[in-house]
Amino acid sequence: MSQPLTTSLPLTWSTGAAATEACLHCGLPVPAGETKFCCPGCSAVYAVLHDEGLEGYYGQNARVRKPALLPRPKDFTYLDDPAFRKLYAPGGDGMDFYLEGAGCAACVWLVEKVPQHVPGIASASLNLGRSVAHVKLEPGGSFAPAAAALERYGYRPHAVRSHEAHELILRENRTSLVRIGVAAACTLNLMLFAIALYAGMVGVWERVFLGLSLMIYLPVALYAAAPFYRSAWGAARAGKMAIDIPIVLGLALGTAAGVRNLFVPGYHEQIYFDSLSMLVFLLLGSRYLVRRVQQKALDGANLIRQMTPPLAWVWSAPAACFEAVPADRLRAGDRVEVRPGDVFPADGIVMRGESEVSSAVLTGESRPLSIQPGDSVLAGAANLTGAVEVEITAVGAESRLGRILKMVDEAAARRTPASAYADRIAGRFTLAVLAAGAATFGYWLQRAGLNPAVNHTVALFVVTCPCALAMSAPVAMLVTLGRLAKHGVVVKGPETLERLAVSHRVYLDKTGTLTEGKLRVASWQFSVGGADEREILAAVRAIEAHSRHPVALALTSDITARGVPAFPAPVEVREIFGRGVSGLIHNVMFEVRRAEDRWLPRENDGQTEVEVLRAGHIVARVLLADTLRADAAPAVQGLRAMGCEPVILSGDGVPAVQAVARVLGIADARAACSPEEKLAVAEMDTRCVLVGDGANDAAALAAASVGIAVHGGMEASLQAADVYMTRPGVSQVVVLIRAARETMGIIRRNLAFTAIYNLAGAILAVTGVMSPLAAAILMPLSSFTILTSSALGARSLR
Amino acid sequence: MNVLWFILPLSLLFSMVAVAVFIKAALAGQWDDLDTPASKILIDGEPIRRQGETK
Repeated sequence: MSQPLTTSLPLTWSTGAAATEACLHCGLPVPAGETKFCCPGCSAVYAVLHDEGLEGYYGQNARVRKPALLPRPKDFTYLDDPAFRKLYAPGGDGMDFYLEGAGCAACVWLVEKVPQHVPGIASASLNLGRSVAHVKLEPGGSFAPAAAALERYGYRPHAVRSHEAHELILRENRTSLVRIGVAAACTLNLMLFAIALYAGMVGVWERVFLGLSLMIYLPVALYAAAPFYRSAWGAARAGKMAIDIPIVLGLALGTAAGVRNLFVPGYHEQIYFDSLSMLVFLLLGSRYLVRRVQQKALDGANLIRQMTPPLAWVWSAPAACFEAVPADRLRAGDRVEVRPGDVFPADGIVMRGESEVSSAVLTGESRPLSIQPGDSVLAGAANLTGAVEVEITAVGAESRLGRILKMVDEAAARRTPASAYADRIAGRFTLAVLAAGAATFGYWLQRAGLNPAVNHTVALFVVTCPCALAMSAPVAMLVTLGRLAKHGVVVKGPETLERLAVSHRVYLDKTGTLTEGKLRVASWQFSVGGADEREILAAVRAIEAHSRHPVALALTSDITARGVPAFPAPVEVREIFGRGVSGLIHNVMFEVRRAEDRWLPRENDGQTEVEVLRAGHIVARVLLADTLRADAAPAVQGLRAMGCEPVILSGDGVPAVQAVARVLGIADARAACSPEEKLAVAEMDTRCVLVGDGANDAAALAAASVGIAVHGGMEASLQAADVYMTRPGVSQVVVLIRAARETMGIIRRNLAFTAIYNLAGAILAVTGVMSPLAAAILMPLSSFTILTSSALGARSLR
Repeated sequence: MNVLWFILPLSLLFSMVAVAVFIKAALAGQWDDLDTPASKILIDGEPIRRQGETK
């Protein structure tokens, strides 16, 4: 393990007894006694903050925030490499860093203090929503000390490439805001003049107010409403129906008729500028809000793509040592050293060293594989036990991982874009309004003449203008998306909710989704007459202390939880290739190795059996298993209760998958699925939901009707999925589907309201009773009813 | 009613100034980040240190 930081404060942490106190740094529960911190990370950051005079951090409104990982002294000099700075700091003096673990007001305070404690930094500010800090240099300054300071304070900084897409989004938001501002100002002023006119203004002032109404309406019609014209034109050209088309129809007719009526004697009152302006304002406003929520969700996934790729240690002949280099600069033929705990940066062949690797994220296979010189390894696999030197054979797009990612992009491109609910309704709606309009015109033409006919028809179009219809779906979804985000479920787009509501089958990955994804000790069996139990446990812990193998981690955490004190460091810890480790403690040979029947690991129900030997005799047996998550069983029941059939789709071996399926009562469980097989299943089933985490799920997530990426998953999955969960567990899937169905219910309720209002308005207009005053009252009434009905939101999320 | 000849243009002028300020602020990015400013108001300022006082 890494070197512990030396400080004057106690570096003790919890041993698993009942919690009574709070960690001094993050506030999470800590067992009573000497311990003051919950983990080495918290105690290290506490020490750093006190050493640097920043204990004011705790005075600010600090929320519970555990540091991402134990802060290690890291080498950040690559940040100031000119080639790197050209990519990541195009402005020259400013760079963005994504900070792991930045989450509260106190973090904002802390980041802003960096310039005071690090020379050469002009300013540092934190964008809380994105967890991105912007660091600006003084002339001659460098980024490395700032990044090092952030790492010391407990945030792991990742440099983020400034993305033109993000700049575009910012600019688009600002323009939208300007349009909304103009529409709002004009609407308010128009309403002011309209009230005077409705109250019966006469004489010269009537003409002045009418003229002013037109003038103030022009910015709305020509500038603020421009996005509607553009999208309606785009849809019409593509031959598709969109809700914007009837909106533009109503706007255009209302404007034309209003302008005309100003000059027709006797019809001065028939102008609808105030209603139309309010319509534009409400529509722009609701769309802006929906877009902001959506952007927030997408931003999280995109940030991951823009972060620096991890570093790789490449052999550099001139320096005669391994140097840190960003992984995307590797080329075939380079020799890299991959230490235990690191991930292989590219496909390659082992040149030196032995180890065990886990390809769980790539294939879903939970068992580690042994490798020795001559074996090939894949990019993305995790190196567990020993350092190896690898000669690279395939980088980036050529590697297996790269090809999987390409599959993801292709699957995403193949998916037909879903049309929004409102757009589907738009067609029938427009037809109905046009028919009613033609009938109205015809009737009044033969009854009273051209002018009444025109005006009553225009009144009909204005009052049925689908403001409420266009808002009903987006606003309801907006509320749901926001509430789901608070529950830790991030949905990237409103259409996903529609698809979730109609889904009928849920494909669940096993490793990491239904199970914890790591091995845990199920039971210990000590042989009678063997050595003292605690001595055995201490010995096992001492031997396995430095391995990152899942078995080692499971054993050490279980033994630590039992409160066994550590043994002195064993001499000669050696690996039994492919089976386990051995070590000498006080000159007695202890071995911890996998139990095998004729070279094949013994399987009981998918559990791994490990034996402990002391001086050649078996003194204990341990059974380890990947435990089911606590919420898996209730989640599966919940899914079934909602009519969604759960199916297991896993890349892991048959016995493990069967064991889980049996416990959860799932009839359909498919094991040993390759990424291609998962993709095929997802593409075939058009109403399914797919839940997964590893790279082997990414392509299927992109292709599925709704793809849900689980917490802790690979970046590729988070990018490819429509939904990602920021908290571990499957229970959120049930919450999500229920919320989606309730939201669709709310939307249907909203549509019912809209229909009633539109019908009432249409009747008034057709019978000639509709006046601009009536329209000015009816339209906001319908809009606010919809808004209130949507704001209450899904009952299950309240 | 004559006062309207004066008030009307004045109020329209005010409106336009308000809109102009709003546009300037929006284009300068005042509303890009809606989350951080909400948290920043919770941050306490530095205690004022007077002559001869130690904290």
